[in-house]
This record gives sequence, C-alpha cells and structure tokens, in this order.
Amino acid sequence: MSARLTGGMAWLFYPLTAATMLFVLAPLAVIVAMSVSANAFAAFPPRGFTLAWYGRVLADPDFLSSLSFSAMLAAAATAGALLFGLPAAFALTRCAVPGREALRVILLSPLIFPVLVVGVALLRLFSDWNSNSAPFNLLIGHILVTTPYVVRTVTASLLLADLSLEEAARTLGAGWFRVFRRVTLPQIAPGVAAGTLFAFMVSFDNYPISMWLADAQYVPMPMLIYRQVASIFTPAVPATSTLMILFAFVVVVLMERLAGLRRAMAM
Amino acid sequence: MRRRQVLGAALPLVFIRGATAAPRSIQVGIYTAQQGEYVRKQIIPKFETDFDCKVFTTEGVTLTQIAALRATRENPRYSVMFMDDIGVELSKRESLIDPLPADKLPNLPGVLPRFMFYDGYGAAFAISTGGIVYNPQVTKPLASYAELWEPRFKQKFLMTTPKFTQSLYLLIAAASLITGKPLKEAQYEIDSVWPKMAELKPNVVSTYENPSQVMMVAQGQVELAGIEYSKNLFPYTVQGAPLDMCFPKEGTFAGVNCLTFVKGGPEPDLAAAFINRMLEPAVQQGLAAATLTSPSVKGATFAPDIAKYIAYPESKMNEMGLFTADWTFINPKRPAWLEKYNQVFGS
Repeated sequence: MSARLTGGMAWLFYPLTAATMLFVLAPLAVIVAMSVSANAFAAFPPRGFTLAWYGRVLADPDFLSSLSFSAMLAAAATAGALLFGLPAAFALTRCAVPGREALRVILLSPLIFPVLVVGVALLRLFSDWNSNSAPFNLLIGHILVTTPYVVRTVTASLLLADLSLEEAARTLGAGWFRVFRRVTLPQIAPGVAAGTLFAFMVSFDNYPISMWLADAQYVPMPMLIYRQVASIFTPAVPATSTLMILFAFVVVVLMERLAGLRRAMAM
Repeated sequence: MRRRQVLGAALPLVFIRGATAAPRSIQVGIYTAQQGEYVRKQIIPKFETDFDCKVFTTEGVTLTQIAALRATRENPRYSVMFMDDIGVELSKRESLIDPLPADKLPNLPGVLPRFMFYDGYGAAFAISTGGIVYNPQVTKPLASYAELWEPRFKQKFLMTTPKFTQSLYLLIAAASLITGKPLKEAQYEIDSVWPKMAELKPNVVSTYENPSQVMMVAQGQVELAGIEYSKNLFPYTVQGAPLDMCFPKEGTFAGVNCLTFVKGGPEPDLAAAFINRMLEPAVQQGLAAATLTSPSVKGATFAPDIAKYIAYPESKMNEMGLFTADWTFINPKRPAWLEKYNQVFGS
C-alpha cells in the first residue's frame, strides 16, 4: 500500500505543505538574494549581481577568527553536552532514582527558561567566581543550554530501545560496557545524533548567552553579525549569514550520512 | 589517532588561553559598531603596550552595560564602563559607579564643562547629534519639528522605537511645539504631549529598532526617519547613500557617550589611566574623525570633509542649539511614558 496522499487530502495538504515551506524558506532566500547585490548597501530586491561580497567576507580576518572560534566552541559544548547528557538520560530512563520526574524537569529547565536571563545569571556567577576567561565562561554557558537537547533526544531513544536485547547480551556474558557499545548504542544512535546536531547548532547560533559572556577578543559568529549590522549594513552581512546557512546545511548533511538523522527525526 | 590526540590537546588550550593574562588587566565595557572597532583596534593595543597590561573588552549598549554592572555589583568585574549620559544618572543613583578620580586624570580639565555630568560621575568622550533622517533627492530638510505632523507625510515617517532614548527626544520636541518653550524648558512639560503625539499617529508607518533600517529612507519606502543619531547615519552618507540629517530650529539633541569609573572595580589606577587615555587630545581627534562624532575636549581641528558632519567646535554646538536632557527628571518618569507611548502608537 502506498503512503502517498491522493484525492481530496492531497489537494488540501500539498498546497499547505508548499505554503509552509515557502514561509520557512522565504527569509533565507531574501538573505541569499541580498548577499549577491552589486549595490553598496544591503537592499531587497537586489540590484545587479556580484559574488565580490563573499570574497570580501572570506578574506576578513574577523570573520575567519569568529567562524573558527564558534565552530570550536560549538564542538566543545556539544562534547560537554554529550558527556553530561548521556549519563543523565540513562539515569532518567533506566534507574530508579528518587524524584525522577523532578530531576527530569530540572534537567530540561534550560529549555523553558528565558536564555537571556540565564545569561545574566551566569555573568553574575562567573563574577562571583572571579572567572574572567571568556572562552571558559562561554563553554560552560553553552554546555548548560545544549545539554537538555541531548537529554531529551537520548531519553526518547532509550524508551524505544529493546531492553530484551541488552538482557540477552548480558546473559551471554557481555560486560556492561560491551553491552552499551554493541547493543544499546546502535539502537540509540539516531537519538544521540539528533542530540548532537541540536546541541551543535544551538551553540553555534547562540546569541543571548554569548552577549553576556563573550569579550571583544573571542567573538562568536552571531555577535559578529550583530556588530556588522550595527555598524553599516552592506551586502557583506547577508553574505556572512549565507555562509552560516551553508555551514549549517553541511553539518546536517554530514550527520545524516554518518548517523541517519532522518530516522532520529522520525522518532 | 595522532590527529585526534592533537585536536584533543588543542581544544582545552583554546579555552584556557583567556585565563593566562598579563600581570595587570582591566575589563572595560565599550560600545559596539564602528566606535567599538576603533577603540579595540586603534586605542587599546597602544595602551596595552604603554602600560604593559591587558585590556579585556565586552561590547554593548547603555542598558546592557548597566545590567552587567548590576549583575556584578557584589564582586565588580569591570573597571571602566562606557555608557550614555542617561545611564550615568541611573548608575550614580544605584551606586554602581564612583566619581571620576580627577586627581589621576590630567586630561580631564580639557573636557568642555558642558560634557561633565552629574557631579563628575561621567565625562563625555564622543557626542553625536540627534535629528531627522531624510533623502535629499526626494525631500527638503525640515525647518521645524512641526512639519512632521503635516498630512504630506502621512504613512511616511519611520519612528524610533519607544524603547530607545531617541524616542524621548521626540516627546521633548513635541513639548516644545505645544508650549513654545525651548527644549531645555520643554523637557519638563512632557506629560502634556500625548494628545499631540496621538495626532502624529497617521504619519507613523512603523517603528524601528535597528539603525540600518534608515536605509528605507534611501530606498524611498519612507520619507523621514528618526529621531536618529548622526553616528548611525553619516557612515551611510559618506559611502554615497542618498541620506542626510536635518536639525530643525527647535534644537539639536546630543547623544552623549560617557566614560565612567566602576565602583570598587579592579585595578583602579589602570582604569584611571585608561580613562585619561580616552580623553587625550590626539585620541579624541582620531576617534572623532573615524566615527564622525564630536570630541568632548577643546582644541581639536578637523578637515572640512569631516567637520561638516560633526557639531564642533563649541561655537557650532551653540549655533545648532545642542541640547542635553535632564535625566534626573526624566529617568524616574520614563517607565510611565513608555507605557503611554505604547498605548498611543500600539492601539
């Protein structure tokens, strides 16, 4: 039996889906269009066509240093989120921890809390600790806001994982680590991949935390873009944004190839 | 395997590098945009060399700077904070800042007296002028703020968001129109402006938050925008955009960027040296030319292509009727006015 919609349902849902796609993609299309404008200022519709703004952006040392810092920060924050998020997800699903529901709410609370407020609170905390290292402070802040994504997706995967397979492996003499590596991990891989992707992108795109914790030496990409917009809005700004969109797209494609992201998203 | 090990070793290094600082260091909250870039790239490196120190900077606007001071009040992290004159009054009232240490600032006497604020708690270092943005190819400059209310500008005026300080200037201009008093006196009559502001509503097409939206004037989507600061507009004019500013006869509003000395901040001597450096005539001259803002000190000279964009020297400030508001009076009333603004323009 085909899963394809036909008849009246198709007439209803296909245009709706197309409209949704348009709604989601139109702002991105505007950004891309503005980035190739030959005009000296960012404008829509664009006038003329040039790729010169991309050349300028790619030769800009501020852009290159922000891009590499943001990528490194996001990678480190994602590693931290996995380090804390995976055991937390296991504890929430597999262990009879007292007050498990309360713990779950606490662990996921950064998803609900206004991130701007979290940023001010962290600024105060680091001030009390006399911690003046912007990269360290940013890393802690980003781990805090990205860990819930890993907890959420891995918890969902663990609930769907077949426990009897793990029990069978243990009965056959496998140790806990071997069971985790050979039986559990393959089952929850899509959830881990989804959590990794969310964590990376949330960190890479984060402005509200970074604006409180960054200094002028370590400038994450979203702050660089804000700084450029506040300065003078040339097509170099949309060109920078387009490169960020491309970067995110490449990350998503890589994750799909490596871990089957679509399966994870379908969970 | 080796590559992984190298990457593994490099990552933590990147994240602790910021912790290994020079023997002395201060944290300074500066502004964003072109001024921030000039301070970071032109002023700080030389200061660090001269004083064998490290200056860490964060970039923000007055409200975020004050929020950062409030958040770090118990254990001050900043030594020097840049903020507008409106913020100096607030920060002084909340005991977030100390008076500038005049005895450690040999350049302070060079500051024009009109740019010393709130009993020496703030000294200006850059001044931009607030007026109305227009496209000289399409519109004539406004002679009076009264023209903003004329029907020819129906749905043609892009108004600054009530969240920004510039919106208060529009209220003061309206008070001046109603009372016939100069801006200096009209600022105390703002409570009477709301019926007049309601009459402006048909002309307001929208409000804006990002200064880059003044490009809507250049593109013909609106005819006027403001009240905006010259430092946000003239960089576009210099690049050839069909944009200019007019300063109607009621007066010109001053956007004043100030230096403040954080209460209990680390390394107070170094902080004083940094403030003193910011007020040095050569630094003031360079900053003014690069950012198209007026210096706060006496004796600077500018080439005509720069001079035409800035309110300087003091005689030109007087000609333009450069006005700084009494924030001691305005600040406590501002939340109520913001609500009123939203009622008038949001309904």
